[in-house]
Amino acid sequence: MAAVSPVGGALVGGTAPTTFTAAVAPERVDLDLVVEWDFDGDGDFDETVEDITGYVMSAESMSGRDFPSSLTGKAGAGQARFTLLNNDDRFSYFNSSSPLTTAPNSLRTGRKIRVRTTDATAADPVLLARDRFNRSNGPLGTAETGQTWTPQAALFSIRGGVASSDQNTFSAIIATLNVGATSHYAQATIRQLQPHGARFVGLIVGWLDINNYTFVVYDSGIATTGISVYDVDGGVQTLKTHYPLEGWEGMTIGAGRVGNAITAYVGGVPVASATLTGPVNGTQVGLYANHAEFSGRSPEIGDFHVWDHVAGPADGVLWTGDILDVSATVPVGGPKVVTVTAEGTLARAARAQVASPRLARAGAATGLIVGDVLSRAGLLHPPAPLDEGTVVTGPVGIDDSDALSLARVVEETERGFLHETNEGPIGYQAAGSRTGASSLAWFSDTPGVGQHPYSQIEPGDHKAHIVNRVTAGVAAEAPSGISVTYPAGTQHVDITLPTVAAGDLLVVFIAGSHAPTTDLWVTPLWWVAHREGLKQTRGMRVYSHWCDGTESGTTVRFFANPSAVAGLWIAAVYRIEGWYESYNDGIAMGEPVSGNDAGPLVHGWGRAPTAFLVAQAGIGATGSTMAFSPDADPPDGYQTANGNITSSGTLAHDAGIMSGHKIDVTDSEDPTPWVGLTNATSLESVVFAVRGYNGPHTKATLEDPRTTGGDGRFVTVEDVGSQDEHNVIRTNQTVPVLFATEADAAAYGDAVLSEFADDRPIVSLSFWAQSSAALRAQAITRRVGDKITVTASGATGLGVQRDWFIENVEHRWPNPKVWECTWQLSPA
Amino acid sequence: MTIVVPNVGEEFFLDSILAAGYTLRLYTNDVTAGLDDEQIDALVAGYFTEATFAGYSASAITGGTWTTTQADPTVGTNTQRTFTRSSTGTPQTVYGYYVTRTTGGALAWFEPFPGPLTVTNNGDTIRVTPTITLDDDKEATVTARGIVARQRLFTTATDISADGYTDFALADVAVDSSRTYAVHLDTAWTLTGTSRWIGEFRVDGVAAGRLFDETAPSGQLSGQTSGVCVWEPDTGTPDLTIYADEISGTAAARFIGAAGTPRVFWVEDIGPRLA
Repeated sequence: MAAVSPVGGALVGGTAPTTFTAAVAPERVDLDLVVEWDFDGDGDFDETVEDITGYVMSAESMSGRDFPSSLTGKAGAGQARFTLLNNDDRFSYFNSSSPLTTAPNSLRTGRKIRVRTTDATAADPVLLARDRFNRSNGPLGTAETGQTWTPQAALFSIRGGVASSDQNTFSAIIATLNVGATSHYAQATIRQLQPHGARFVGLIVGWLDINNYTFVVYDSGIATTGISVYDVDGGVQTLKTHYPLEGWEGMTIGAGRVGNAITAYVGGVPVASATLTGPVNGTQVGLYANHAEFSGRSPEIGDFHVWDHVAGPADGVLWTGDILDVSATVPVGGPKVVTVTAEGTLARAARAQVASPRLARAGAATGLIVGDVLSRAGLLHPPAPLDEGTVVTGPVGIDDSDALSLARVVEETERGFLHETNEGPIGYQAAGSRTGASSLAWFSDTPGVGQHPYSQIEPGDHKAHIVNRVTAGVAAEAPSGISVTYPAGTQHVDITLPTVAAGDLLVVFIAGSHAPTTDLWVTPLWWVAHREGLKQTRGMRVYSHWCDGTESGTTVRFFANPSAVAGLWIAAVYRIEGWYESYNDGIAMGEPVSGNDAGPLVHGWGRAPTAFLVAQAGIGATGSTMAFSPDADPPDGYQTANGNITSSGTLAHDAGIMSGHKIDVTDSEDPTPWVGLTNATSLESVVFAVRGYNGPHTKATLEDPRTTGGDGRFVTVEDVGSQDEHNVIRTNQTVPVLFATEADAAAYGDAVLSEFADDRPIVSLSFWAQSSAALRAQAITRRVGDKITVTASGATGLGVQRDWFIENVEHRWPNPKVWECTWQLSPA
Repeated sequence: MTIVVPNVGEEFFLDSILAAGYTLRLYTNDVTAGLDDEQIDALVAGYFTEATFAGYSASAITGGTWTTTQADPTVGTNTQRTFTRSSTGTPQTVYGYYVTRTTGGALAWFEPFPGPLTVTNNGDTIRVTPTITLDDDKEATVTARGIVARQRLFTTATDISADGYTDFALADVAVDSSRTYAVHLDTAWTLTGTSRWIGEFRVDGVAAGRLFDETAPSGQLSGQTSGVCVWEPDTGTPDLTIYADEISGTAAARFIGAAGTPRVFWVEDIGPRLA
């Protein structure tokens, strides 16, 4: 009997016809809007004269992307324009009798203006304390907002415009001030994070007493590097939560406390939160540091602010911006009017020239870097909702620019959305925020289908935005695996090399006290001499070698001493992995300088992650024993210096060497002077730079045919089907360059192609908000980034029913009775 | 070998399914947002947040009260269910309906609405007509069904001088995801000057193929085009259109029809879909 294996069967499916019927027949509603102007510049609109609604004849506002595409559209500064009745000349700029030009009021540019509904729940954060420490060195004293700083443990003092901890023992250093509220959000910038292991620096919130408080710190400990939230309850300290992060100089840290909930922020982005069990009635906020003994610079805190809460969406707020111009129109027979123009907060970002963040060792989630850039421009005071981002960049070293341009570099890497919020501050949406977004409203041109009618839908130009070839760049890597040994000896300078791998770089600094009459120094085969000195001189010598992996444990001779010239030698031997692998573009050394100041170095490769080695070499002086300095702190920013000296019993024969290193992203380097060796002669210092990898010879380049090398690493992804279909190759115009790996860059390319390799409909949709309460509610509640559903297969005949994202919102009020709302939509 | 379920079998099975009692409920969370197909397949009733607006109550569907009709597919329908808000209050957004078994309350099926519906005011009403279909898998015994939708136009269309939709359109074409279709366009054409035009076949406004690509004057100024593309749609009743796209030039495109030589746009079922 034959075996039978049937396949197939029956499928269940179907679609249930569904209709929606609104009970309330569409009926014209009042606009119920308020226009208010912060004439006195105090950050709110609570003065009676600040409500100018009664003078508004017409108005319009716009915010969002300039084109409805998450790839090619960019959010610029929003714009608004108001035509105001000026019969009593109150808006005349030079009318000194106007209440609006009488102090503290002013019609000057830069004051805030807002459009909201009459029932809006706007609650802008209130500044509780601020201290930018912009006063003479000394005790903290009194903050800008009048509160007195109280040193609770050890001491913070002002040094160079920041608050710096004075104590070098491993115990808490605390200063607080009273903000009078148990719920608050504190924010500050922090520096001097890396020079010494196990440093804590951050902010205290909810301080009640020395036994009850909470603190959020950047922890530079080897095993716990990142943001940590600790609670001290009854004198018992508990780690509540931790967010791994390689911090960077000048990063912005925040701590928010609401009731018993504590949230840690980086760059205004919430990164970790916890629930506290201890008392929550502390109203003091302050500074915290805790670090081991170190004679270099202590942790520093600057730009300290406290608000009652972080900014968030406020129902009913439609647009907020800054006054740009007030222009009177001289009438001929008509009413006197002024035209007021305003611009959104992104304009301030475009004007603010800032230093770019330097993430030399590792990257961070894009939202954290966007927040950092905004902080540098003073646009994080306080932060709007900022997403963390789903893409973690590689190291970041980009040229200084305006804050908007810098933020967009990061935005592009994420394919995120940098935008103005209705309340004014700049927000940031991660790419992932759209992945799981729900449609929030259904607009339709077909009665019985969907819910909200619209007045017009207009297709946009979709062809010009096809992209079927995408190139994305990978960030340069930081040199890694830096290790150092300090061999010493007499007679020949024979150095046994450490364990190495192919591609490693060895850098050797040598101090020798030999004084031969003939040249006995040699440059070993396959080594490069960077500083040989004269044959009889005792100066520092510097060599490097590009390893092929066979050098481990071998001995290399740098000084042949057959005649047993008296003298000793000592060396610092650095092994560096992950270097640029080019002698032309990957190594640079400054001029050795007599003394303890290594002098400047312009390495020539711009802002690529670079290891800077600083070395100091000397020979013993007759009459005194050479020694490590008791204050052997390295130059600012360098990790603890180390080294060695010989001890022969003949003081003049001793040699000593000290060195330290740091990884940074700078165009140049000029180490501060440092006292490494004492009682030395022929003391010389030098700085040596080793560039991190970003060249053509990575393993990924060899294994992934989509990776190309050269000046940077780039991944190109193609959609040849689209190229054939459209008979054109269209590349992405903006190439992101901050990806951590080739895989991340390829994923970016794939994501762009999946969305943009073929035609995508784009439309603008308009409706009259005064037509019904439901439409007015939509005009009020929908924001850029929201997802909606649109059916356009009925009266409009476009044959479209799908979900869309709102990329641009435009309101137009041609008179106090009419409100037209227009959205630019990109397909979801 | 393949099991064949003829229409009479489909109706029998559907009646069997619908002999059980069910309850139709509205849900207010976007339950599928961010989920992949596998996660959606794993949903149970507990994942749905049932509507709670004033006046709302789940609607029982008594077993055996469905009307079933043999067809391709066989369809079962029940009386329309009405959910009306009884007082104005906090808006509640309804994302779809779900159906649970009366005995035990387990999830049977659900359907998201194409977009959310927000119920706010006293009297706002959502109406749902329970509908379920049962179709035989692959329609293996039917190699081709022939034309399933056709449009014949006996007049010449208005010149198209800019990118836009032509008058070729077929609304609500019932198609099945187990079948393969051929979409045809047969029409005389004229280009009024130097230009190149392509005709996109669009499904609910989304490009799904190309039916013509004509150029003048390097080719010819007029002629007859007869294009076809293979279409493998999801089950549904989409609207089909042809979008004229001027790739180069500024001339107009004209589609010519007459009593004896109509312009024809049709969809043909050409057999079961290949695996």
